[in-house]
Amino acid sequence: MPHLLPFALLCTPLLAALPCLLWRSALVAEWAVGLGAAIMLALGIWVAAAAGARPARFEPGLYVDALTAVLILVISAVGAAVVLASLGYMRREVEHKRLPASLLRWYYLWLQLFLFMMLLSALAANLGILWTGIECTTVLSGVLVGFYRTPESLEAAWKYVVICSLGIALALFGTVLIYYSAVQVVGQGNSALDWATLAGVAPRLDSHLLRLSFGVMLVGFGTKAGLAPMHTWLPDAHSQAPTPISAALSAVLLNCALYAILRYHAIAVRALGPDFSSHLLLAFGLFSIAVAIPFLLVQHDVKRLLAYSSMEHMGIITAAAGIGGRLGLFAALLHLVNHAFAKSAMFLNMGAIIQRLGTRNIRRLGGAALLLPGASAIALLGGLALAGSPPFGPFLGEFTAVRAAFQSQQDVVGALLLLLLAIAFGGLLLHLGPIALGSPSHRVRTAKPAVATARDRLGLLAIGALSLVVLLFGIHVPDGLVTLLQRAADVVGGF
Amino acid sequence: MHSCRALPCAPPILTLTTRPQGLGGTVLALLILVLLATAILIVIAPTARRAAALLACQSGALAGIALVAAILSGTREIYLSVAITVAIKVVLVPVLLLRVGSRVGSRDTSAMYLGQRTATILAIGLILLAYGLVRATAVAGTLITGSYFPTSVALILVGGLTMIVRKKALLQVIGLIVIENGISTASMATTNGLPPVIELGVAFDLLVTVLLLGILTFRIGTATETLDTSTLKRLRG
Repeated sequence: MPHLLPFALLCTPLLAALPCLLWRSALVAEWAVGLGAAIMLALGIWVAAAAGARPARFEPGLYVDALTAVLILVISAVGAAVVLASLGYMRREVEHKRLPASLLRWYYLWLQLFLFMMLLSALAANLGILWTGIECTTVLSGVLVGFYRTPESLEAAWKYVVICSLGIALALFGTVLIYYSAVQVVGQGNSALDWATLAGVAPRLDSHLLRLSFGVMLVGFGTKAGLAPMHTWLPDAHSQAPTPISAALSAVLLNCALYAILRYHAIAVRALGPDFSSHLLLAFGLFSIAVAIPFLLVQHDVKRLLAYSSMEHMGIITAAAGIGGRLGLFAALLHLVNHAFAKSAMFLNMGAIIQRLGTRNIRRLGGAALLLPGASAIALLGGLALAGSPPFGPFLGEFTAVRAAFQSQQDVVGALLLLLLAIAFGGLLLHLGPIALGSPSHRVRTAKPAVATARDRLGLLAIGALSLVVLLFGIHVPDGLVTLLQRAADVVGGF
Repeated sequence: MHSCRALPCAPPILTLTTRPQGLGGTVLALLILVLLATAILIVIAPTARRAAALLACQSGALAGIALVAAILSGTREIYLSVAITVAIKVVLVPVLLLRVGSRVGSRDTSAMYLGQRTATILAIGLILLAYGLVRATAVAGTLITGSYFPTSVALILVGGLTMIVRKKALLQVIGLIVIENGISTASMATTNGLPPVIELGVAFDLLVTVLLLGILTFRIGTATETLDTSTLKRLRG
């Protein structure tokens, strides 16, 4: 991989943010971020494709191995789709008077900085920088959650930033503790927080300190990943943010927090053996799925429904990582990728439906197929995909996770996981089915026709591409991706 | 210092994990007292402005501890974290909080979920609990048993208490910073602080978080005519 490539990827969102800051015109901002998204996507895929079997270091401060590559792929693909879908969506929000046009460029500025911080967290070689990046994403996405400045969105933003800052503070405590244990082995300085160094000297780290560090850190980053019982901010923030931001929060940001947890898990596995951290992950994962399910069943707000579904899927990924072994970790990472694509397609698509009908209430969205046949079809198929039905990507991830549980003799875990997945399947389809198939609600029957603009078509392109990927990954996962995920699983498990 | 396994270890660094003798030790003991006393006073502070002033004192004590550590260990890098702490935690953050506090003005009352006396007793109880807990579990084989590690755990707990019992947005932000100060105490006591680059990143993050929360406090104030977070109850289920 060329030495400058990761730096170029990292700088792309920053460069695209610059015109948003310098020019007052929303049009300039839209062109800049649109181009930036295309470049970010291309560079992201390049980095992921070029990440070889051996980890590579890029001075100053960047590190790329297979695990990084997986996250980079998700951030750049979903990030680009979010930016493209924002172009049409945010213009319509201005038309509907939910937002003054003068704020558009600020929206894009914060979004680009948000993308930059997520890329930085993924590429950072140093656990301290990783922490800094994740904390910064809280602040930047907090601005975006409260972007409409309605009392509800401000409440959601407040709750989000306070709870996640608290969680992230605990993660800092975990970072301090791991630094303390590393200083005794490698001496003071940045190298004592360098992930590769830590993974190398892991067996010599103080095991008591490491246990304490992992526990504190799991609660801390787990807050940000939406694991129960620290998830209370998640449905509020994800439902109140502008819908493209909801997609970015659900499909990318949660994964960044999970990525941080996996990095620490990798150190813990090497130092303490697989049991300690795996059991914690398994417990938090299963508990998160169980807590999310009742809220899936009784939900009225379609964005909150998708938010609780994200929580459920984060639980599945965490539990799969906890089941462990090569297959379990592979399942976790496969599901991470599939959920990211499926959930972002779903959110962006649902955003178009919600915007058209002016409500998030599931009943009032009923029978939307009469008005928006294409979007409703994607909503139904996306619902099936998120519920874990074949032939879509998420099914493969869940299936592999369950298989890993039974294969490693964790029969009770496997059975429990199957049971929870079955209930979640029903809960999600109970609500999403009527949107496409139900009898048309009053709003659907009285809605005026709308003309699609060029910006809307870009959004449709993004949603279509994501949906296609979800379907393709369900039928056949490309060999290159399988190799990448296997290597990433090896990075985590230390096989 | 630390019992190493078969493989060679890095040379032990001089940190505050063992209590220094003489003047340094006395000064440190006093500074720790300041840390704990300000934490208790913040829980029951009558106004957000008073709490912000107390917070500045607390961060000052933290900078003092770093300064003593710098002098005792002779490590030049620590002066850098002293400077960062003073600039951001002692000056910028409290000034920011004071400005928000004075704009909010008359609406700023001391609403709490508990009475003052109960809150004080709880805070002191948490401090004792922190000392008892850390001493009892005293992470075997490591040396974080001096007064500094329990102090940091105590600050984290009392900061958490502040966030729970205070209804006002600003006081919750201040509670968050007390927790941050507790973590800084831990890192100062165990390793003379994190590497300077990371230390800078952490302090910068704290600054932007406080900035955003300050702005949100304003907007919530204008949108709902109150800074009472107990009125934030629209989002449920």
